[in-house]
Amino acid sequence: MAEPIVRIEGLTFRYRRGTEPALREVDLEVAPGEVLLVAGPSGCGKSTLIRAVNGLIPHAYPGELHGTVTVGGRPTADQKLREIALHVGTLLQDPARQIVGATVEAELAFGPENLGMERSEIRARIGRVSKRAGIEPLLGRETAALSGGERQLLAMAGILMLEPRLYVVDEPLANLDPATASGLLHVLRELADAGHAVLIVEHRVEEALDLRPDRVLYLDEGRAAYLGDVPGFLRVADPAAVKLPFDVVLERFRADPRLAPRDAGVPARPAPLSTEALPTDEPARLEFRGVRAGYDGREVLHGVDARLGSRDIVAVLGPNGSGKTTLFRTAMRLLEPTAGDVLVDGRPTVDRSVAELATTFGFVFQSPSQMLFARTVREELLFGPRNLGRPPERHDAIVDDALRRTGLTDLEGIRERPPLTLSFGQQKRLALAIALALEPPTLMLDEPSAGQDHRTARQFMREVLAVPGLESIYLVTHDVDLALAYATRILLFEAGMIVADGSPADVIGNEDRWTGCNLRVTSLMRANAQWRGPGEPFLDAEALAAFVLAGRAGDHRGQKGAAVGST
Amino acid sequence: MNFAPRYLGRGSWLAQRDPRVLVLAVVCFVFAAIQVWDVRLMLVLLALAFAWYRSARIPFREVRRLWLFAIVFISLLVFGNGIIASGRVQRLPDGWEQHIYLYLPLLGSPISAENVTFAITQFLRFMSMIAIGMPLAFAIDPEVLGVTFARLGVPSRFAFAIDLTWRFIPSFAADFRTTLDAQRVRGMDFAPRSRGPVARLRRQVPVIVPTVVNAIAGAEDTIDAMDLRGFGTGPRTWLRELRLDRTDRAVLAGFVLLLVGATVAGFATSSSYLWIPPFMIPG
Repeated sequence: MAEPIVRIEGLTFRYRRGTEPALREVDLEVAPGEVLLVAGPSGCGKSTLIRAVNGLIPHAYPGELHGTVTVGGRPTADQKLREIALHVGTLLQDPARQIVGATVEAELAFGPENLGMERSEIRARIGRVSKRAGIEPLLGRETAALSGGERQLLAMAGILMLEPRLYVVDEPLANLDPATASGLLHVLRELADAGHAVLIVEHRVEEALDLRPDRVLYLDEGRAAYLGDVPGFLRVADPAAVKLPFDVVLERFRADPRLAPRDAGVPARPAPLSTEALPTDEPARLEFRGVRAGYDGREVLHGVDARLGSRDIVAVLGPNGSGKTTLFRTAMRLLEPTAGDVLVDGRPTVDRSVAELATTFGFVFQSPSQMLFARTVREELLFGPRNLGRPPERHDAIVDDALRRTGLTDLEGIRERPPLTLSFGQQKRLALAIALALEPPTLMLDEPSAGQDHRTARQFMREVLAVPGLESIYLVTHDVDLALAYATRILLFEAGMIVADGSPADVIGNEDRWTGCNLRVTSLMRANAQWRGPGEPFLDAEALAAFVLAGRAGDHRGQKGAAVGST
Repeated sequence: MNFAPRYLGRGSWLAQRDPRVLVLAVVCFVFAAIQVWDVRLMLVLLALAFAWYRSARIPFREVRRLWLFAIVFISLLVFGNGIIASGRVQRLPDGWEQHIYLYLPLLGSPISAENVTFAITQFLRFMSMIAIGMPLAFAIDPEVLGVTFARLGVPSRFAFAIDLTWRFIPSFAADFRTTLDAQRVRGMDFAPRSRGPVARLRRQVPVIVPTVVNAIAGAEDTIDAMDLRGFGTGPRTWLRELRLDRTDRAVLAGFVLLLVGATVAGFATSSSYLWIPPFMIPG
């Protein structure tokens, strides 16, 4: 076996301000040509492992370190970061924060410039790398003008420029539509096939398996719960914590029925919501009539027509930059249409302020930290009601109701806690409570699963659906399975236009259109097509597996109306 | 929405110059202009500055708000200070007596030919400095900002920090915008109200706090990303090479001459004293 690029022996690390070690007794080697997938729930130590491998620990993050990490045969503690950078290239989770060049060329040149390479060599590498990463059309553009997917590819290309022996990639799929994610995984696989090593951390295990990892490290509470081949990992991984292919979930539940949820076969969405198409004579909760909108003269929505009902759960799906979030922003008057009309409950929004619209639509942004500012949770919750002039004698009731509906009352002293001291998951629930404090009948969720692992994303959606008094939910997401499991209706976007609008079964019935919108046909989609009858609601993996094992499923492969991939 | 200074002068004569020329021209011009108090010479400098600005071919519609702000700000500064706040006038020839038109009611400050001329001269000076300086923001390729300052002797780390500032203005602005929207959907009203500055500042807290907190959190990732690509750990190459061509040298020589000329004239002639147009002197 070739000499490992990275060798970790007995690594235990506690951050200077941490009370518990983030990693405990981890042993690991990564050899040339190997792909290592690192999986585990949030807080399991994945980011700390990455920092140990790329040298940020101990060089930038002080703390108590036991054991050794050697890169290229020498301990990282004895090397400068620039020396380690010759062996290890790291792609961080958020490319917007990793890109430091004002233009694509400047970004590509940044690493080699820092290492003092000759200009001719840097130029030659820019040519090679831009071709390999498929970003040649981006050369000459300013990085601020790139889309999210383009930034991710550029950030990856910036690492390729250093030609490291090991690529460390932290959740590269988090902000990408499935097809763009697949392209990135393809680049990583090519690197491994060419003799480089890849260490990839990813929640979306099912997609990461496309990379054909050689081994998987499964971390749990800082410990290596498993290190070995993929089949072994699939036998031990917790299906609730990481997203596994459906067949694996089914087998795991079959082998250990205690893992299966008790609500087998129950649709994930609450019962009172409608699954019927909105009658044309009934006023829609939200209606778009020929809406065009965009930013800085660039049109993003090209004449959108849609009617969303007051009893719908609508998921908006489509590629990066196709206009999904812009649609919601237009509805809330955060962006004015350049043409067309937006109507809410039959009234044009031009007659209503953003504040008025907020009493109809509770808008939950992707990242809760973008809105939290107050000293206490109570003050945070009352910010909106005060702005809208709710009488002070109602304030306590509003706070109590919002906390109760989001399950936050269980946290001790929650009302007086500073919002920023809450965990990410708790902040997401607080953001939901903030929206509910304005007592809207409809929620708009922007990427509800972003930044969360499988378990917490699923739990968050279940909490949202369990909120009493809600009439409808509209959400934008890249998570295909989440959308299909929880929505009664799908709007499929491509290049600023709606290309499909219907029930999940209708929309996924056309596989070419589905994949043409950069969406992936998942194992769960195929399984639902196989096990659920035409017209039966789509189930999430756990519910479907339990449904199948309860013996309530027939095999519907080949039936008319069965969803995508069923033959 | 893009708040960042953009490369609006792309392709213009000025944008084709070595960017060091643009920086050094500003330095020479500013030091020349601050020595000139004769409004006739100041008009010449203003004409030169605007010719320079015009050569950058910055579309007016893109910067008109900036110009409006500059004109209002400078007017308040100059006329407020020069006319209302004080009756004293600097840079008058020895023994020169002021020619007073009137005294402002309530304040009692005199309005004279001299302080009006002083204010006009100052106004023209600041306008010329803005005209000569604006191409720095709009006519230098953002890709060469860092190397420009590095080649002017600024240490690499600081030079790259300038690059980085331009790079992150749009990101910061986008975060600000998102937070603004997040608070608007909570019913926050940003319409101006006639309350004091402290109250107005307090009203911005819901936007400022999350934006700053996110910026700090983001900066940590950016620092990590730069460290991991070896930034600041040794001698650095700058991919872009800068070369002064014949035109650049000629332009630079012109600005150096301007500075030298203004300095010599300040000692040898009356250009460093205020010149009062005869038609402004009553009677």
